[in-house]
Amino acid sequence: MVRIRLMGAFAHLAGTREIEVKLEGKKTADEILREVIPRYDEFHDKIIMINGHPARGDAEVEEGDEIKVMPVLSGG
Amino acid sequence: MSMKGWWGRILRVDLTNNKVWVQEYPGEVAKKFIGGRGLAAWILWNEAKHVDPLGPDNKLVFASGPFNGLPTPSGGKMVVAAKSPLTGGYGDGNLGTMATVHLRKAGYDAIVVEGKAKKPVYLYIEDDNVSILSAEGLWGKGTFETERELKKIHGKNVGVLSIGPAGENLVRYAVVMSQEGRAAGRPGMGAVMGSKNLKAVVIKGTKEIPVADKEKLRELSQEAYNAILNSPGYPFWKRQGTMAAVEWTNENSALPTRNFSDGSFEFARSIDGYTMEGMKVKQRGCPYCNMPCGNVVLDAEGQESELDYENVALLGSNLGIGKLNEVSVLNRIADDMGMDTISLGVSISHVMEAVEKGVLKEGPAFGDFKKAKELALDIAYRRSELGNLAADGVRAMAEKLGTHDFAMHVKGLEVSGYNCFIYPAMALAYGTSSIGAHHKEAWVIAWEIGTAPIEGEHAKKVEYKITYDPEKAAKVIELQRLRGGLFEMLTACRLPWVEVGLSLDYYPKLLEAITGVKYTWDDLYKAADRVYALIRAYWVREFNGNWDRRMDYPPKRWFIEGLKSGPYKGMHLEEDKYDQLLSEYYRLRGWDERGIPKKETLKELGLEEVIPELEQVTKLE
Repeated sequence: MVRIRLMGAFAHLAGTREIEVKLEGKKTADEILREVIPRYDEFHDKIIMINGHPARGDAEVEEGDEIKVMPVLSGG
Repeated sequence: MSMKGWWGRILRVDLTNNKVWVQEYPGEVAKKFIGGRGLAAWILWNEAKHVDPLGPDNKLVFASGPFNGLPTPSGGKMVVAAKSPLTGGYGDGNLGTMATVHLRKAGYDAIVVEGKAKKPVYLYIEDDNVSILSAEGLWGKGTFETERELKKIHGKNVGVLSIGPAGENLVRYAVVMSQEGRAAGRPGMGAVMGSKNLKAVVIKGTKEIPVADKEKLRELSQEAYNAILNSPGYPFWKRQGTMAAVEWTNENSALPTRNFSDGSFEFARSIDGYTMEGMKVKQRGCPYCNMPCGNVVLDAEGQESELDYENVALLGSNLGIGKLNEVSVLNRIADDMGMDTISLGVSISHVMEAVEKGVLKEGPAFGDFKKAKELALDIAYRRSELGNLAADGVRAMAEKLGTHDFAMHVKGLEVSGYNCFIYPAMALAYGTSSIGAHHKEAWVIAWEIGTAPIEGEHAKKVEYKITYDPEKAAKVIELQRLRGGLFEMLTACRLPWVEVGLSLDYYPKLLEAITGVKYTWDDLYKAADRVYALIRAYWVREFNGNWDRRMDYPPKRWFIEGLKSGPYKGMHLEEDKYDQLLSEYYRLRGWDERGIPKKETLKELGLEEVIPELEQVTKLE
């Protein structure tokens, strides 16, 4: 299982702030997030963390990882 | 002057001599400076020379731009500018208000107020008829009641700008308020208004603004409004507005906490956007905006308070206060008294840290809401020794108390809601902003976090590193051109682009439809660079040439301390590397190593007339 924590507009679009998904085969963070978050690719600025460290969207996700994703918007 | 989009008319008011007249300004100036901040900078450069900011000779400018009074996306803004009593340099701020709509419909692009009335007055403008009326019955009242009273007299269909007790008492970060939650002029524009005995400006305009291509404007605006509504970020934006930022600044060690001594707050969850949603009673917005962000909640005293991220960061985590309904009380007091929430928050947190360190014997401790509230009111009325001291802002306090190590300001303006121990580009943005430490110009932190270098084959499990790549200086300038330049000149809100990703391409097209003048992106960037150079020249002149690059340094704390907690614990900026980044910034801007525009740069930007005056105070390269 991979745990995903969603923040800001991603949580709104996915309809949840936290979700666990089954990892089937090799997948990148972007591929997993795209399945969970509608219109994911329309967000240009986002921060992805895997197990508490910054990561790129093309990072390969492993069983037991925790992904956190936030759109970098708002406040300014 | 027959122009489209601009009236070419400035309403002039001399309160000392009870005189009102209209100044026509050249079309060339309109095209070069566009409006808003550009027009204000041009006026202040020409007229507010070596003036006492709180003296009658200072000029208070209310400047609109070509977008105002017309259906443009979030185009209901106005710039309020003057020489700042807080910083001693150029000061301005923008707010969304019906006053900008009415000002333009009354047939003016700006109002300039000079002099000082003998007794409290307010201005009433109805198209060509302008009256200076007694405000003796309003003096002492908060901005909410002042606006309600004025609307009882003049009807609801007017735009009102007013000051509260803080402006009257010359609190150096008093602002100009409108519509119970809109504020402008962090560097003390409200105090300048108070120094002139001007309580309010009420405007009613009924004219039609001349537009070059009405049909095109309607078409483009409709398209832009629809794009905003259909953006994927829009539904969540409507829920939380800027309040969503509490969550991610806290996650990224950027949330100002206890006078910026830390970047994350243990009670962040209880002051964040989700908590706000549970308290929200209504939403307010600015004219012509379809993505309103004024989230109104009921505060701990049962009154309405309009929240946004900056208010909550500076009056919440920054004071160690973790209850949103209490933070909302402080915010409402700031708005009603007419004080800048950011500078108020940082002034109070400075006192709190001075108390903690034993520099001050009395005053609120971090987290003490009751005493913080008392101090906020004491500041507005300048009614205790401490209140009076804190009313002059952080720089003045640090000079008196010797507390420079934790004085969070740049050029005298307190730092807004981003703690930059690990963000050099954002620190540079604060360092080089036109008014002091404000985020409205180069809000680069999002880009800085989002593009942090993540190397390695699998690109994961990489530690964040603080980097000082020269491209960070270029990015700061790019954002200053757009946010501090284009949007401030139009004058329009930047948030449709920043928050929901509205394409920037709409803006030159809309400007052309309104004015008939075709601006390329190069033209717009050049106009923005011109305004930045002119504002920098203004600072240098007003400081009599006593200027060096240290004026563009961020607060010392970011160099000498590290974050107290979180994954980046102990990390901080390095002074020599920041200095190199600053040199790169100057190089790209065509400014010398002191941060003063070179002669050649001024000529290229069409600011030849600035050179001889600047040469009277310093030698130019």
